[in-house]
Amino acid sequence: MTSKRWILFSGLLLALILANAAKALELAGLPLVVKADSTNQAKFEQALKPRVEQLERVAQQLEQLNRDGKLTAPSVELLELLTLCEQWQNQLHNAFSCRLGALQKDWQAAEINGELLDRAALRQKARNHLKLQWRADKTEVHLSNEAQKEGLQLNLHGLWHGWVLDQLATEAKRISAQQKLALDNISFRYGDLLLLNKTDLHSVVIEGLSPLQLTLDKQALVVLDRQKNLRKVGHYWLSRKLVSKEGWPVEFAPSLLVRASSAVQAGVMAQALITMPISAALEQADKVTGVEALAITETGMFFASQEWYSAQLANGTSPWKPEQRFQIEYEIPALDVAEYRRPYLAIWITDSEGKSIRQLQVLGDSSRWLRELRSWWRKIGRADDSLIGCFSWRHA
Amino acid sequence: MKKMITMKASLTASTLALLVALAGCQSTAPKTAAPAADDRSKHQADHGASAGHRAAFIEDFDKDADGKVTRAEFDLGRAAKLKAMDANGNGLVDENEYLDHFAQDLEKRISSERKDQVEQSVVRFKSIDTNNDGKMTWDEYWASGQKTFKHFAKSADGVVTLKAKDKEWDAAPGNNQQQGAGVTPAAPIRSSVLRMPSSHSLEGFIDINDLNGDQQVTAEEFKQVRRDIFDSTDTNKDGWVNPEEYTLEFTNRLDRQAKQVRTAQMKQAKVRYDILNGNKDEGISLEEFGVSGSRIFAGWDLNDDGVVTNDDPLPKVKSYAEAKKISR
Repeated sequence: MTSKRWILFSGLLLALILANAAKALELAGLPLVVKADSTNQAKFEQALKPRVEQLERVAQQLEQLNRDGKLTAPSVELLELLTLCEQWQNQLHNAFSCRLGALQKDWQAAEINGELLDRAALRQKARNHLKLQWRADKTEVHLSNEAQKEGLQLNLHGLWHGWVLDQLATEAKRISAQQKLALDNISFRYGDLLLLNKTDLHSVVIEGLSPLQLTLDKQALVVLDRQKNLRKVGHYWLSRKLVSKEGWPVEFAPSLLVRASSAVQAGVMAQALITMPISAALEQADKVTGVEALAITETGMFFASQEWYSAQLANGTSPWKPEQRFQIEYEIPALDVAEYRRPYLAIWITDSEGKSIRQLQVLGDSSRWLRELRSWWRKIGRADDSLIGCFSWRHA
Repeated sequence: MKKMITMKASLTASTLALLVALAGCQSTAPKTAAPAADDRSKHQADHGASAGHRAAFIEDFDKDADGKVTRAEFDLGRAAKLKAMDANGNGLVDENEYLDHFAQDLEKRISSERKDQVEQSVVRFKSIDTNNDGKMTWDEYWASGQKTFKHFAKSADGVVTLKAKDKEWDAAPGNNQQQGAGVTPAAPIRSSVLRMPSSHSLEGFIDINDLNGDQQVTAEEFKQVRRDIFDSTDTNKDGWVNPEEYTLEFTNRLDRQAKQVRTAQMKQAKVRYDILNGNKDEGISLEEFGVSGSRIFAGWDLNDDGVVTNDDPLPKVKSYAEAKKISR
């Protein structure tokens, strides 16, 4: 074979490799990773493609709706998503919203031009957008005139990713039954979301921390890494996550892990919980059956909803042994003064060199007065405002 | 009042010290000292130095949390700060690194203070809503305002004026060095970064209510401003203010103030960088940072004992008016 022929052959081979690489699943510009038993991997990927293509058309319809303010002949899927938007926004009292698209675009522009946005003006816009309406039926979806005038843009973020994975899991079940493919080890990853169809120990890597080993029992998991969710606007590093009623980036956002029985639930709850103070987020997680959450503050403190650790304990992965249990009793002196207010108090454990090892209790929720606990504030509190109000929650 | 904490730990008690901090109601009176007019404190004085500014300095560098800053603590803190600013680790801090670090710190302080102040506005609403029905009526709002007006309008003509402010400024703990006999001042706290005008101080009262800018507030003027605020806060125009409307009005003011603070502070930070850098291109070195640090430390350690505490005399600020001018 001549050298020219070799070059031609190599070129064809490279084109073939590239073409195969391009076949990796992708949806709305994001990679979609499907993993199954090695014998079934390719079969599942191939069989799922038609459904992924259908979902791509839903994403395109959403894009068209944002561009034109209306859409004729919407797909059943898009109508379902729009209904879910309303349901979750109502259920979570606006902590989740699909109506943040225009505000996200404002922040993307701010990131480029380096200018912080006006917070008061943004709040007004955010609150207006939360109320804007659309009309949707089988023939048409139409943003209201006011919504179009105000520039409403729908951004389904966590809902979209979760819904996509739930759709694919359902489709995988159908394929499994039809083609007699084992479904046991299939998992899906899209955006921040992972959905497992098996019980498995899963390792989560959060920047700056040792990997966390979590047990997932046919559950979905969202990992929002604090560091990876920052954007720089001028000289300011701000969270990419916006508070729905403010349009402003979440302040003191922790890293957040949310585990739930469905991917939609995990995706939506994570978007909502990240916008709340940690204590409120964990309280909210406890209210929703099947949802568990773990927040990790900027300084690496862990706070979890009530059931977060239970799966790990049941699986014998807890670092604690029963004989290591101890009790601490403390007494707050009663002061004989005319105006008595509940005192601020902090209890923590140090090593013999005074280095903080474990925070046990902090009473009081205003940084103004926590600052008066000078030793605690200097060593722990001042570095991490997100800690305030958290210590009634389980932490490790 | 006994509480039990049950927990599991992997640590043996013998290796640990359990620490409890309780914010008490008593504080130790700082010793007072004679004013020191000292050129070396020009930096502090130029920035309207007060006990609050010094409290911030102590809070930032008091590594062992004993309420004082030794030179060794300061040098360690300063070196750590330079290291934190030097994002690319080349031993020099360029303008972007300096401003990025400052902005991050500033935003944290603004966010922290803002959160407290928004929460405080909820408390204020409850105190104005005297019948606790969740509706703040004009009568309730005006009654609360009248109390404040009477508190400040001490002169016979019923006008609130700043005339007495210089005296009040000199007498305030931390702004002078002479305390009244038998008075136990609270330990100074860190100066507010937002400096929100508030009716709790005469200065804030006039800032908010001085309609015609003549540095005083008459009863008529006050009522007019009060009415305007009430009406604009009642956004749904149902004749009363609900807690959400009240907090929203305050939060909007707070955010406008925060915006001004960001602009002013970043401008000052840029000026500071240029001075530290001496208009060179390469950035601030540890040595340059150290020289500047020495000046700052000496400017607070005015009793020359090598330690900055609340016992040091404060840099002299000539008058309230000057301090206010400087702080803007």
